[in-house]
Amino acid sequence: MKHVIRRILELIIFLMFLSFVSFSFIKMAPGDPAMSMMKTDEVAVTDEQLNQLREELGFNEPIYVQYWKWMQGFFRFDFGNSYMTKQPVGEELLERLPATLELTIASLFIMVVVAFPLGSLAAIYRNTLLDEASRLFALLGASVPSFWLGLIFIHLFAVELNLFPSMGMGSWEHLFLPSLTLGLAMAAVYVRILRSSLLNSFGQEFIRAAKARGLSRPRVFFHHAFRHSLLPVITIFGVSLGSLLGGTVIIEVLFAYPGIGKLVVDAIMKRDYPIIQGYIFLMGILIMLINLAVDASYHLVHPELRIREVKQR
Amino acid sequence: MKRRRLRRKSIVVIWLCLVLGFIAATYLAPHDPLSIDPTNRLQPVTLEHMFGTDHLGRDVLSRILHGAKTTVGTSILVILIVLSIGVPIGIIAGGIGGVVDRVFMRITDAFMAFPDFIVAIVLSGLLGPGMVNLMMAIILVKWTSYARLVRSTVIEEKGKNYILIAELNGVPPLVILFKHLFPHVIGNVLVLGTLDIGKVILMIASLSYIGLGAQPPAPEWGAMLNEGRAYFQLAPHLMVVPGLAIVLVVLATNLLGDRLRDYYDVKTGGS
Repeated sequence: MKHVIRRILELIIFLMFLSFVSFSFIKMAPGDPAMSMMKTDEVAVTDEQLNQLREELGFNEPIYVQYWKWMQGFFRFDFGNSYMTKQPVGEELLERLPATLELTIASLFIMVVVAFPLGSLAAIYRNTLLDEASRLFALLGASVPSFWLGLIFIHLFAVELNLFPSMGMGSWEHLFLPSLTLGLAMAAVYVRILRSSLLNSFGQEFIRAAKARGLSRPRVFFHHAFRHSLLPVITIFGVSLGSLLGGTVIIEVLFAYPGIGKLVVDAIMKRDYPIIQGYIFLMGILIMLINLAVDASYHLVHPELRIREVKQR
Repeated sequence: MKRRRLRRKSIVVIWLCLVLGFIAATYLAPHDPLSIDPTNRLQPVTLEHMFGTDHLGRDVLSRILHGAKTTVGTSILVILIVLSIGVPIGIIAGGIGGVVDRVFMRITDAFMAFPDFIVAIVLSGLLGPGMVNLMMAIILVKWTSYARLVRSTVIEEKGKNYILIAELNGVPPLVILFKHLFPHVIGNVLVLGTLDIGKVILMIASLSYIGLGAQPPAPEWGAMLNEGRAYFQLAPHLMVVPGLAIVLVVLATNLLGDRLRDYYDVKTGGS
């Protein structure tokens, strides 16, 4: 309980910090937001109009009043309207969020489908050709930029073979190439982690004990070795979920996939600050939630931690 | 010990070769990477243009060679800056300990919570896209893992007998630092730095591809892929050449880093 309260307090402090940082960056940023707002209409801007807009947006008020108002909006997830679409930023982001989540989940699925069998086989048949292949796969995965892999896939599957659409979203076919690109890049990391973690478990006493008890080999593997080996995988997974959020940005732009990543890159190009603000807030929250979830999942996978905590009390 | 020292020297030599190689590359370029020649656009591989030309008739080979300076040179520079920030901070935190160390750990925890890609995107969102902002973002994220590695090395070595003996003999702390601790620190840091170069190259190329890094017409490998994308069907070399350049360089640094890691038995990850 104490732990939970501390976490929530941390979250609030963190959000305050985030609101302060993004506010001060906006104030320091080059260019006049009122100007860029007007410019999107593609007509000549008069000084009078500019001043009127600045007054409307509250830019003429003292800086601390601006910050106070800004922070209030921040905590209500209200960042004003996008300069590009004139829609409220919160709505715009939440509208795009499902697409990004879809892509993330599909990529994770492909990652698991590729990495778990390959990593397990590499550990079981250690130092065979298969193990070498997994090593090569991991090395290439760490060296090939995901966007280039994506470009090759587009060229191969969409342009030459015409099997899958190269952009947009809507059906599973649209999801296939982006998530394959992202999933393969991730799988390369996990194959090696799972392999070394499994090898580590194989050498442990409890595996020998399980074998001595006459349990079948699949049971020893799945029930004992595999479960035990998942902890490091989950640890790294928690850390890399954040970078997965970054990875989706590249892939979304590459495949013109209408998720949050594409939205924010477009916003950056057009200096659409409200969208960027909303993105920062959303990412901050997401990263905090991910960290919480990773913490919680340790306890699920690793009963020792629970026992240790009980003992400490 | 002698062999170890020799190995350490050989890393420095390899590093110097890398840096010199990329500086030399710009002088080897047969053409001006920026000169436009509309009559020669999208040329396939010929003797005159060994990697063909792009949609504006620019020589791809020259752009690749100059791009090495942008992509690889920048990532080496980034790592060097990161080292010059992270190493002293790590030495201070590990050497002094106590409150300073606790504050340090808290700060690095906060920095490490943020994925580097997101920070880079957010910074270029707030400051505008460009190479300098991209570099700043990477430095902001990366210094923590070096500081942590150095800190844990210093703490580990500090407890060992040879340092105690040196202290008892009245060797001044600064001498202990530079003569005894520094060699351990440098080995570990060079390994991590070599492994990170590839990651930084990938990041710069990826973010330049989506337009948040190097801006056209600057020759940068990721940006070249972006510019050439519309012409891949007509001129596949625009896709193959810059991509292979990235893959080969990153592959080389990864292999080098892996070897070094195995040799020194360094635990990367920074904690």
